[in-house]
Amino acid sequence: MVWIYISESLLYLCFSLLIGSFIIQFIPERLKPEIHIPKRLIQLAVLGIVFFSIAPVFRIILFLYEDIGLMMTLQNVLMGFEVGRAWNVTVVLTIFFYLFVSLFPVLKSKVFSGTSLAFTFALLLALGWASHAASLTDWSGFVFHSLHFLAVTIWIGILLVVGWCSKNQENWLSYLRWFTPLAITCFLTIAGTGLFLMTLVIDVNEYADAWMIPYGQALLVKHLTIIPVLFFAFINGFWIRRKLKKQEQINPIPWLKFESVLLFFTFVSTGVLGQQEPPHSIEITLGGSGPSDIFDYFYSGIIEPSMSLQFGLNTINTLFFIVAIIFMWLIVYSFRKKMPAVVPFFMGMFSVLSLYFGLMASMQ
Amino acid sequence: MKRIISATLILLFAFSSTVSAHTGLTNSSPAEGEEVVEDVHEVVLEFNTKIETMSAIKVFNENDEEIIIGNIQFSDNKMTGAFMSPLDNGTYKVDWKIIGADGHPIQGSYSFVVSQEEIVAPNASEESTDTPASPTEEPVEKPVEQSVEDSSKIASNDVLVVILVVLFTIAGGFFGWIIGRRQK
Repeated sequence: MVWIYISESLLYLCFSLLIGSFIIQFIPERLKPEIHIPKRLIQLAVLGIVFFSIAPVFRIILFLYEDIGLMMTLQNVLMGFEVGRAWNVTVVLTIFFYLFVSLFPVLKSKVFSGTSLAFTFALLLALGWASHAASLTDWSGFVFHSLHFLAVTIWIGILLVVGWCSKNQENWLSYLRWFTPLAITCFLTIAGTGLFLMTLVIDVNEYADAWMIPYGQALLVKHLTIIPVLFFAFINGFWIRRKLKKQEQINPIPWLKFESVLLFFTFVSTGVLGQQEPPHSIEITLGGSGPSDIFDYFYSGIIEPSMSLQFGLNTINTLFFIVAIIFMWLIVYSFRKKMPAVVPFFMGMFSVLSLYFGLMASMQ
Repeated sequence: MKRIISATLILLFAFSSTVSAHTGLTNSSPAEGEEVVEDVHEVVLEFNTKIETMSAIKVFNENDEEIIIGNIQFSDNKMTGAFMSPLDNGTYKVDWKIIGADGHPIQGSYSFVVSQEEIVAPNASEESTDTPASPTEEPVEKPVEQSVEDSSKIASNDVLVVILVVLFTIAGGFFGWIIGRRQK
């Protein structure tokens, strides 16, 4: 199953790269640092979409072919299944998109960039079509899933392109002036649509109870990985800006790079989340598929399908929360002490670990 | 006598089917654990998601023989399997394996009982007393398994303490390093 998680994460990465690369073309020169995006990268990202979006289709084929035979399965999955049909659309679109990207100077002209953006958006809708949320509702799941994913790719796409493809840090203050509000808007959109998508699958009041099953564990890890990202976003958006205004010497680019690496971990946990069986009733899922192995390891009582988790503070989890707070403080402290960005990056990872273990240890 | 047997059967199967039932199935006819007194020509399963056409139903009688389903029909989130002839009296187990529109494969099973008053098969009561043997074992075994796991919990607490110590050491180490670097 690991291959499918990696493939999903890389798929999100490809989408983000494309969206970011094309959006940044519409920003006037004086509002961004000098950015050079290799065309090869764009081509690879387009190919990546075809290649990495096949994973769910491939998984169904593996699930079915023993019963029915390979040819029958291929035919049925590709022609009849929503996932297969969505993938067909993806393939057709990508072929044209790839030719378009290869033949035209898509990064030189606004018209071509705009067309490419439209291509990417169409591919994004094709992905949302076969999503879990879309299969549950008439239209709202599809719309919210696509909106959620679009906001993610805009925010992270621009971050990736500016972090990894910029040549210098000219116009950084004017870049932050438009990017910070955009990032906040995207984040609020992500949070809002994400909450809606979550309520399609689990009851918000049962959030903690869902930790008993793999889906809830993945959801918790995903949410925890956002915490260090927020610290980095705050540093990048506000503190670096204040320092630059005071004419202090600071290179913001490594900070952006590590923020994007942290976001990649969120992608990975989202990939894992997307492949877990969504629990429409925790009780039934728990009875049917059993509890998550990790939960089983930490939980000291007998696991029954109908139970509800109790939480309480004890010495161990209090200490875990304290060490988590220390790590978060160290993120800020190492920025103030001008440490290289890799130090707070690790502090962020450790704070996630501490929080996770703290929460796991508080179940009674 | 027959009524008592089938009633206990329903109870047993109803219990075991809450364990083996699965996400996805919202409604079915005959329902889970239902005692049907009419002819059963088909099973209808309804799911909370649109399902793909390669989804399958298999129905087994109490001797674990598969009942041939003549034709399966799909409409959005409903799957209907029609039998060649109405089902005889007895307990039936329905195994289903579906693929939701999002590509998630899900499977599960449930049971129901057919007991029509007029036809009482002479050997049916004998057979049905044999079958509950396997499901009764399940609930007995469960708690035993769990109590074995309990002993490993003390170990997991130790692991947590070790992790805690490691995390504190890392935090302290980094803090010391940052302080030390500043003084140079």
